[in-house]
Amino acid sequence: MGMKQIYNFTFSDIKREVYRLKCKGSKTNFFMSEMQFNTLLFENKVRAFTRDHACCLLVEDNGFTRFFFIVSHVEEIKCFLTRLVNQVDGEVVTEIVGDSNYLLSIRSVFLTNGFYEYSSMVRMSKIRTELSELSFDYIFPLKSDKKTELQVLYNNYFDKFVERIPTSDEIDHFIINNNVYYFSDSGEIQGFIIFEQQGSTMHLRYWFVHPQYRGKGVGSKLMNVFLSHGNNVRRELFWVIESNVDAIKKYKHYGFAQEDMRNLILINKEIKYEEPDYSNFK
Amino acid sequence: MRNQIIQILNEIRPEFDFATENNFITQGLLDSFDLITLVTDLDEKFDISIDGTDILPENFESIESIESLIRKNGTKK
Repeated sequence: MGMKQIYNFTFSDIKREVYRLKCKGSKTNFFMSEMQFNTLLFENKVRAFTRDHACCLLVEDNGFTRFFFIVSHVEEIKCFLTRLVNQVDGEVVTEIVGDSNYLLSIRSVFLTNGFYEYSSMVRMSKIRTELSELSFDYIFPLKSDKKTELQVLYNNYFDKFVERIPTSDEIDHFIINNNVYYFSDSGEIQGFIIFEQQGSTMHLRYWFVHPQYRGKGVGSKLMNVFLSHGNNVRRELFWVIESNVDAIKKYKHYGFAQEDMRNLILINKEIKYEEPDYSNFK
Repeated sequence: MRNQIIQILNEIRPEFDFATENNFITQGLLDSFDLITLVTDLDEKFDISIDGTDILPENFESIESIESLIRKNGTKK
């Protein structure tokens, strides 16, 4: 059977595809929550295609397209790349997540079919330890009145392919759940941190200090909020851009260790993520 | 089988003692990314193919539930 586009699908239909295609050797990069998926569906941003042994989704993002796949065998990805993805205008980005063993064959299929490695993220984690004598001066929970200012920082300083800039709804969700804190001694956001607790694990979503205020202890004050927040937290975890050696060094200083769990960001264009240079701010 | 499962889990998340834990998913000891690694490892080590409809959080909450999942999917080991 060839490839066909499916219409009027729901999250449950895609889940059914995951069940249908699961077998020994099956692969996927579809980890979207139902809430995220439904928001995208509502905004008419998702197209779905299916074959006998594979299914894929093309999702419109911030001026580019994200590619998700669920395949019973890794070679099935090739058909989507050669017959579908190269028909798409603009950049197509895919993220693949897993340990080294899981990623090996998937990465190879993409790299031999017109994709390049844009960047990679590595997961870091540690067991929570009790901290004492923390100072939270100039740290405030971020409320809706600061949302626009927060969005401006995302647009100015975050990489749209790698850092998953949160949607307006996702920011609202973080704010409502008191998951956003910012540092300020002047009224403006000089740095912020966003985290979320799931079970006994605290996930760090974003940690940012405005370039103008780096090297002044703002980051560590914000980090202390993450390291001490929540109830019954046993594990702390996040993803960091692997080429950001300074950040990794800082995280190691806090006791975090790198895992064999990576998120490769692949793109159908020969461009590579570069660490931003903020030396002009100093 | 129990020891093999614990060994696989410890390779994925060495910081936890899975032999004495429960509610792996609810407690956040394993997340969806870990589940993919776990399912791949279980498929390989026990020479099975866990059915897609069985990849539900409740089937990975404890050693016992993983054990019964493996048996259900027909391990010969």
